This record gives sequence, C-alpha cells and structure tokens, in this order.
Amino acid sequence: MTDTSARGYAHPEVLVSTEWVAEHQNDPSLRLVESNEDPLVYPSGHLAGAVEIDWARDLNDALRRDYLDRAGFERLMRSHGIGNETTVVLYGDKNNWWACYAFWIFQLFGHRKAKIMDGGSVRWAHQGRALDRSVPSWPQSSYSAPERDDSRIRAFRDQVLAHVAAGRPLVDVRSPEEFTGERLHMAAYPNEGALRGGHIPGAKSVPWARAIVPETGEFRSAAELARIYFEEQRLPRDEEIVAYCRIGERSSHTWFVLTYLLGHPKVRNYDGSWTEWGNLVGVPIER
Amino acid sequence: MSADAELSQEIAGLPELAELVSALAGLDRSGRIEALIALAEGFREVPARLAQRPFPESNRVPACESQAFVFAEPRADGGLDFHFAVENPQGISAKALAAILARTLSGAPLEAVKRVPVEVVEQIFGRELSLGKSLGLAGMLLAVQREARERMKASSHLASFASSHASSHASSDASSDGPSSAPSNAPRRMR
Repeated sequence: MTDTSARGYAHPEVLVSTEWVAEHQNDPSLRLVESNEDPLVYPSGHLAGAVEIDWARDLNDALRRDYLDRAGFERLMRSHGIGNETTVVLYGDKNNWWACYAFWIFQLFGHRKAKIMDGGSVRWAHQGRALDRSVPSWPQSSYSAPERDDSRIRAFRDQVLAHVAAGRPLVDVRSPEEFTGERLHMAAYPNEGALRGGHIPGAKSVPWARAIVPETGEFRSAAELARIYFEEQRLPRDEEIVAYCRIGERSSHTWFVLTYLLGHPKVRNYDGSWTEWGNLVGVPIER
Repeated sequence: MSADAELSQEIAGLPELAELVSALAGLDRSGRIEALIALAEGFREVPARLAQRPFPESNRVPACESQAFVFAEPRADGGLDFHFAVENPQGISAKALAAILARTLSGAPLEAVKRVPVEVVEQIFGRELSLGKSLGLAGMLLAVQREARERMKASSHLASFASSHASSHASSDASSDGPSSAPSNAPRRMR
C-alpha cells in the first residue's frame, strides 16, 4: 500500500510516499525536514540533504509554555534555507508523531507548502534506502512569516472548558491505560506529569496508532479511517472536534488524519493536553 | 550539595557508571550525541541461548515505546549479568542505554544496582528528552533494578533457609556427614 493518491484522501497532496521522496530528493525547490522524539535518530542517519527540526529546541519557547513566535519561525526557516515557496517534506520517528507536530506548527504560520512522508523514517530504512550522516548547510533564505495564528487549529484551556460544557466532541488519542487513568505512575517515577489520571469528560478514546497500518507504518485508507472515527466512534463529520494527548504531539498526528486525510473542516489540537488538564484545579475529569 | 554531586555520590559504588556519567557531563551536546551513538552501535542483543523471539512479555520494559526487554542471568558469584533486546530499529537511545547498563551494572553489587537513581537517565542523555522518552528509558533502569531486588530477595530466602536447616541438622544429628538436603544455588528462571 504505497500509492497515496489511490486511498481516497480528502487532501492527498499533503502526503507523499517514500518512493516519491526518493524521486524528488534532489529537487532544489523541496526541503526534507526530519523531526524526531529521539535526539539520537537524526545524527545516526537521515535522508541525504535533510535538515533536523527538533521539537524542543527549535519549536518551543524555552521560557514559557508556548511555541516560537513569528521572528523565531522566520529565523528557523531562514537558517535551513527554506523560502516561502519551498515545499517542505516532513518525516521522522514514531510513525511521524513529531513530523505531524512540526507540520501543525508550520500551519500556525500558514506555510501551506508542506507534506508528510508516509511511513516516516522507519519505512524509508526498512526499504533499504540510503541514509546519510552529514549535516547539510543550505544558503540562508529570506523567509517572511505572518504572525502566528492560533485561532484556527489550536485550542486553549478556556476554549476546551467551553467545548466540554457545550457537550461537543473530543478525541483522546493516548493509550487506553492513560485514558482510563489506570496508568498514572510508574514505581518511583511520575507518569504523565499530572496529578490526576483519566480523561476530559465526553472524550472518545481513539489511540493515535489506530490510524496506522502496523506492518508498514503507513496511514490507513480514507475508508478505513472513516470507519474508525466516524462510524465506530461516531465523531461528527462537520462539528468542531478537539484532539488531545499528553502534550499535543500525538494529537497533532490525529489532527492531521482528521483534517487532511478525512477532510474534517474544523479540528483543533489542544496542545496543553493532559499535562495541563490533569493538573488544573477545579476542572472535571472522567475515568 | 548540588543534584549532580548527590547523584555522583549515589553511584560512587559503581565506578564504571560513575566514570561514564562524568565523561558525558564533560561533553557538549554534539559530543554527547556522538558518544551515545557510538555506545548504541556497540549494543549487543540478548544471546539466543538466553532468549529468542518472540521475547516473553514478562521481560518487556513497561512504558518503553522502543519495545525494550530486559533479561538477568545469574552469575556464580551471586550477581547478575544484564542483557537487553530493543525491537524498535529506531530505538537508538534505548540501545545506548542498554549498552551502558549491560556494561556498567553486570556483575556489580546488587545493592548498588538497586540504589542507582533514575535521574541518571537525565545525566546520561541530557535534559532535552521528552517525558515519554524519559519514562521509557527510566523504565529500563527500573526493570534492571527489579531484577536485582528479586535476586537479592531470593538469595536472602535461600540463606535463611540454609541457616535454619543447618541449625536443625546440628541439633538433631551433630555427627551426620551425609549429603546436605539444602537446595543448591540453582540458576533462577530466566526473566
């Protein structure tokens, strides 16, 4: 299952196969960007020409829990030689969790020329494709970004409180054990960074990995995804949905699935997620 | 005392681990990454004589998304050798930590193994790890410590059994030179 255009996606242009990337790898109008959870993955071997964007160092503000601002995004894009017209192809470990997270942040700054490489770096490596250790240096660009727009696809605490109060749909993409609150602590080590275990009232549990074909790491077809999210879980096809996980990275993956593969018109990612909600005083939770 | 100094004190009984942590602390970010990748490349999977795929679920490290497994092999001196498997091909950090734990904790005094603080994970990898990654790596250390605790518990039961058996023999037949019926220190179930 590699032909991404034959899977019935609402926006097939945002997903490319490893084959497509191999064919276009040397296209100067394209920049490969690897984003991982494990900081050792990129330096141990990446696609030739790919730059690394690190979720913690590059995308987050170091002093407040927020993302980089317009100037920071411009600096980041310029340093990697990414221009406003450059097509960015994101990929990474963990079935593209962090690639989708970076993709989501790119959308906060309106960079529409962005794609995800289906299957991520594991699929690339499994296919025996070449990896490189040299870190490329691209000429500085003159990228110009608008102010970050948090109004369309990002949800904040108060919006989620209002969303819950109105009985609107949420999707919790964490593991079933996290959803039920069964897994809150490991011996001698705090799990979740939260005081309470459970989920936001009314949320449906759809672990992010259900969107993936385990054998290949690729996204499931639109028909299969629709069966999971719309038929089995009865999430509405047009009403606003809030997706969340622990810090917003896994839910970026589900946001990507719902928005681009299924064409849902209004999905927000609640990046405060359980590390915020599970610590808030006075908010309701369910188990 | 700073947290780093406290940690150094807590792992002082494990000189190889202490030396490695101190060496990593002296490197900048890229030096540390290179060193950890080199360690990961030296990772050797659990020998087939001890475990083969599919690895038993009882050996799986909880919360480790790199699908790590820990195995403890009893040594004649009463200690343990630690072996690992990491099923995620991109589990580079998990492989690095597995190589470190196998090298520095195998054969070490179990009491010292048991006392290694989980903060050592942060000392080894730096402070840039995600919570999920930290938990998975800490889970590997905790799994090793569980093995050490169980081995110590088994040894202590064995010792108290042997001691009570010996004293009952001594009181009932002080001149007996027959074979002892106390259990031998047989290798425990491979975990």
